[in-house]
Amino acid sequence: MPADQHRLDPPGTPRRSRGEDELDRARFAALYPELRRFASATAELDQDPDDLIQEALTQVLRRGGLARLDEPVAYLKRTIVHLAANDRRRLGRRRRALAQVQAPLSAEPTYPSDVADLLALEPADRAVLWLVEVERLSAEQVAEVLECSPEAARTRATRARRRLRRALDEEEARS
Amino acid sequence: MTRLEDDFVVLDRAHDDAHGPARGADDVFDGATASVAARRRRARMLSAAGLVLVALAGGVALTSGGDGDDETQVDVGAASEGDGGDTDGAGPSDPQPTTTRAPTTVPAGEATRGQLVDVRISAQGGADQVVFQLVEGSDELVAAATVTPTAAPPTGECDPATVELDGAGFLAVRLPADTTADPEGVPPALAGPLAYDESRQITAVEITCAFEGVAVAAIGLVQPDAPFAVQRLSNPPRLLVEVYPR
Repeated sequence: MPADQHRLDPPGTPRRSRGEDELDRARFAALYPELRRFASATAELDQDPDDLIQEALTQVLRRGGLARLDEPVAYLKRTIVHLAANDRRRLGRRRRALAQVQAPLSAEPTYPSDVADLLALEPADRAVLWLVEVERLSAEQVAEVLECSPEAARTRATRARRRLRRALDEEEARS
Repeated sequence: MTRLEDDFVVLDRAHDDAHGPARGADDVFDGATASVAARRRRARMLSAAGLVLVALAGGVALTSGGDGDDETQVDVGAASEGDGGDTDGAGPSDPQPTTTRAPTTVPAGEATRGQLVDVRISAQGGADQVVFQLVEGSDELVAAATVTPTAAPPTGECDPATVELDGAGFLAVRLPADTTADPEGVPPALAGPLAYDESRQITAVEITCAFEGVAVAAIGLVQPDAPFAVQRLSNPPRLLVEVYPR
């Protein structure tokens, strides 16, 4: 198959040698701190960030490992965002179903309201804010992670900031 | 540190409170490799069980050949009732169509190259549904899709020729479409086995190959000889595959 064709390496193959595993382990160890911070910023509170990273890594390993990726960090981050968004939808259904059979929870959140506002955003919006405001990535770099155009990345960042600012303003107005 | 960075730090601590401290790179890596091995084992077991069940049932799947990616197209004249382009626009909740176990082609149309942009799974009235959505303006391409029962997950023209996907049997879906451009072939949203919590008839769906304008997807079946139906939908152009219980 020509290298320039779109190609999916089917998962589960090829078998990898112990040496390849050790190389990937070392590569992953170098990436892990950055991925952990990113996953923590992106995940819902009831999602374990390490679970998201592990699942993203599982998908990569099933397709031959980190060495096959040109931009492993961007790829893993992109997969983490998708996994977080998928989980959010699934957890949302469960929460709605539970809400119909359980009394509403009266406990106050144990984290500040700012964080509650942050958690109200979509995972992709939190990811954008993290990438832009904390990692200080350019629109082009954010676009690579989110698999969109730089213009779309800029728009998403602007909208995410606006949503968060609105939520914080409302919070302050209430207090 | 900005207020937002501060909030992210608090969010990180909230995650630690909820799930314990970060497990560390080695632990996560070991978990991922164990997960890969477990999925391999499960796929082997299901594949073996599926072959036995198919053999016992005298089903057609075994005749479709070895790796389940037989290029031979059986005459589709006996295909499901979907002989019709008149299913355009029909919704998933339409009356249950006649199902089949024969290789099925949506009725002919002019085929050029298109782009697969989304795959979705849902459940409706006892049937599981898989929707393959193509880019706007490529309605005719759906007409060239084929759906074929196979004993193993199909891999099209891609190497290696085997993939691991849970399922006692499989449907091979071929679409005249590329996936969106991506170094790994498919975007993460479409990569990896897609599953749906409420599925009863299918185990997972995976795009196993995208090569030279043909995308191949494997639908893993809970029952190896489950009947299925195919419909062509428009606005946006979609191929709907419904899998019913026996």
